[in-house]
Amino acid sequence: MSLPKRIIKETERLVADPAPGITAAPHDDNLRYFDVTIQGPDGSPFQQGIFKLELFLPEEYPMAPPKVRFLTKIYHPNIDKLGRICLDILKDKWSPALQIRTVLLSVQALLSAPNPDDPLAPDVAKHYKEDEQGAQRVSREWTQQYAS
Amino acid sequence: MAAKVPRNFRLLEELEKGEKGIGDGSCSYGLEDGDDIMMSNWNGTIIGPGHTVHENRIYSLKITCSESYPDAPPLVQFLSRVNLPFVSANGTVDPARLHVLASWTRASSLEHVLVEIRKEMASAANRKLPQPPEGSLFSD
Amino acid sequence: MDMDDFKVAPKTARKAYELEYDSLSQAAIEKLMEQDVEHIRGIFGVDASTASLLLRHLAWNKERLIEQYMDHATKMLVAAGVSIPEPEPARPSRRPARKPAAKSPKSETFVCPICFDDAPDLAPLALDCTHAACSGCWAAYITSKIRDEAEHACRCMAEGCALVAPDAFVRAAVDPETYVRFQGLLVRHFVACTPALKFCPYPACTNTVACPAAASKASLASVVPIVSCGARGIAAPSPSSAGMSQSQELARQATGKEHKFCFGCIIDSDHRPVVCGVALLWLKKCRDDSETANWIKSNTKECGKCMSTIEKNGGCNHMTCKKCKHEFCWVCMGPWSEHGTAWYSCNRYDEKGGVDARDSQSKSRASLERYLHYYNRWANHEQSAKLALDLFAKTEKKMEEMQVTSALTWIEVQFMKKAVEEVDKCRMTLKWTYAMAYYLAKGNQKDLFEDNQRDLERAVEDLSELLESPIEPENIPTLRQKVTDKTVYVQKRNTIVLEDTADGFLEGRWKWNVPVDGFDQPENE
Repeated sequence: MSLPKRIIKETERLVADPAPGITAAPHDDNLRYFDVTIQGPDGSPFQQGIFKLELFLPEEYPMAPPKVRFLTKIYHPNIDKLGRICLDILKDKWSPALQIRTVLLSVQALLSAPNPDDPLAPDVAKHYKEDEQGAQRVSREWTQQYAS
Repeated sequence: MAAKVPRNFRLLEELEKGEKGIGDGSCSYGLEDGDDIMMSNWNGTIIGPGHTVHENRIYSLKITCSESYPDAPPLVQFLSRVNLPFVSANGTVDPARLHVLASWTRASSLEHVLVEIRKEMASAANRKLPQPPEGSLFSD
Repeated sequence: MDMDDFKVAPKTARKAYELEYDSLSQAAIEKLMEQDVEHIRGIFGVDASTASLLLRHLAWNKERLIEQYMDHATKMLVAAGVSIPEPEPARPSRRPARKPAAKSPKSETFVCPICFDDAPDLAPLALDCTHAACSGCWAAYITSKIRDEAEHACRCMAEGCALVAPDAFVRAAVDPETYVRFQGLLVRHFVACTPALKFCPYPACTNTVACPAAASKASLASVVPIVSCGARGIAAPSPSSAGMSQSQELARQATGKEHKFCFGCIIDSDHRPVVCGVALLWLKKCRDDSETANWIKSNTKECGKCMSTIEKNGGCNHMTCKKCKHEFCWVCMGPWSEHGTAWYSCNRYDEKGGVDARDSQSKSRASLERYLHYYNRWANHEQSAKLALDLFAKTEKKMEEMQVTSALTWIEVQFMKKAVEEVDKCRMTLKWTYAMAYYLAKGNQKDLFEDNQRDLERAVEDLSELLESPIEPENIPTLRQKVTDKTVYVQKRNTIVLEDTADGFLEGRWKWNVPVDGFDQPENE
């Protein structure tokens, strides 16, 4: 079976009309597999960083959510050492009406609003809860070191 | 054509399965380094099957997944010393002599490799092979 | 003795260890659900679909639903996914009001927002919220919710929309097989919400058991609610494809394992006489200590005389070494000759003697040994019960032989089958008596319990051995007499153990050596 219409259209739109601060391009040999970059949002400790991610649309998409992972190291309470992301819309809050674009915008928004109460990286979350300024400093350092 | 799961997401799936624990716990595996974002280097453990010379022994293995995994099979190497026909003098598993590696497909997995090695240990041909001292390593 | 196996046991005088319960089919549960829906429908004056969504939302708690609905009907309808929330009138919406797709005039072609298909024949489909999608996407979405997520409340696909698809919508969207699954999910949800009901845990079984006497947690300190849903065997996944003839199917159902399980806990077998709390403690202990106990689990032992390896392959504990003909007891490994005549107490761990004998050894070693004593016997009965299947096959062969070699009729050789069933049942009882004895506080009561246990154990081993004795045409009448007598005796011993233990729970006679939920704290020894 060829690629579903939905994926073709979403891809076209992502390339033609990219969301600000976000790029997404499919691999030539696997059109369900995307190389993604997200710019760290202004005002966040990730500002000026360019973060690499990978995104994959499983067979069941859009009935099942896309799989997304950071490839750039990042110091964030909801992102673990392997780049896995804890975000409700990537799990139980997924709706088939959401799209690649909305998912990536949500990931970008997560960088502005870390949620230490629902942690995936417990040590980072603890740091964020106990000493937010210190934790943000580490996030900034990591951004400079790994994401620029 | 069905969606082809890329290497990294495939390895994440395998990692999550391994973290939950597979089967009866006689085989297990995990990342050598939890920070390894490319997930290339893995540790495997096999508990020797009962009623064989391997009973109660714990074998450590090193598994390496290349860029082209799972299109290409992983590299498998015993760290614990063992005497098996498909294991070379330095501990490397000869892919031509272990069925799961020789006939590797995308449907095969790290779990399959470990489970098959353990099955081989218990096979009639191998269960009584004389073994090096327990706990010794190929690097010794 | 009357050997009529076809007579249904009369439902007279219930024994102390039996509890009243009812088995209900899926259809019967659906009836109960309908009644609740009718009840709510009548009170609220809503349609049946709304009433059932409301009930499901409040976990079928009618009282709470009525109370909350009377206070905040609108809020409840929104929360249950029946209606969309009223737009907040005070604050003008910041976003330009998005017109739902379905409302657009016919001139514009419909583009499904999920698959982006724009074929002219595409039919938009929406819940009351008018968030339209094509029928193919609805089917795929609801099917994946039901099949992959076992979800019975399928909400609208639009992001943030909480409207739930009513049953009629679901039925129209999915294939009939998926709708059957959906109905099954609704029944399971209802059963899970009702303390007096429990779903049969056997694979592919759809029956439910009602046991109001065991619905409360407190009741589990005085009763062991072992129930059966009435079905036997494992149902074939689809009735036609199994390739079995109808008579084969019937035979399988008749011989299959009865769906017996505990209403009070997660154990899916009969754990009488011991109560759930203690049974679960024991299972946890076995799991935690399984590493140390692993060696015992092995099914082989060495002959005490010639040291050759012996595998136990039948249910009887009287072992004879093939090589040197040494006869011994599988459980204690002592010679069988001493075992039968002298009081070679095989069921009882002589705590006093044991402590004396191991004076020099550490306490932890003693406690491990104590545990292993009980575990060994527990595991042995479990293993023997598993071997009962083999024994049953052997016995059936014997029964056939007996019909050929003697004048006995089929009915008359049923005593063998009955005996095997009885042995199996009693081994289950015995198994759990060891879990119970491990936790019983020392004293008179425990001694009496272990006396009963010993009597049952000896009777079972005797009968078990009898069942394995070779059959000669001339000894059939004597064997039949012996087996029949022994079966009756074993049955009696089993009843005594079960009844006395059950009475003890009702009288509060049993004291434990560890804290158990619902019981008094143990006294310090």
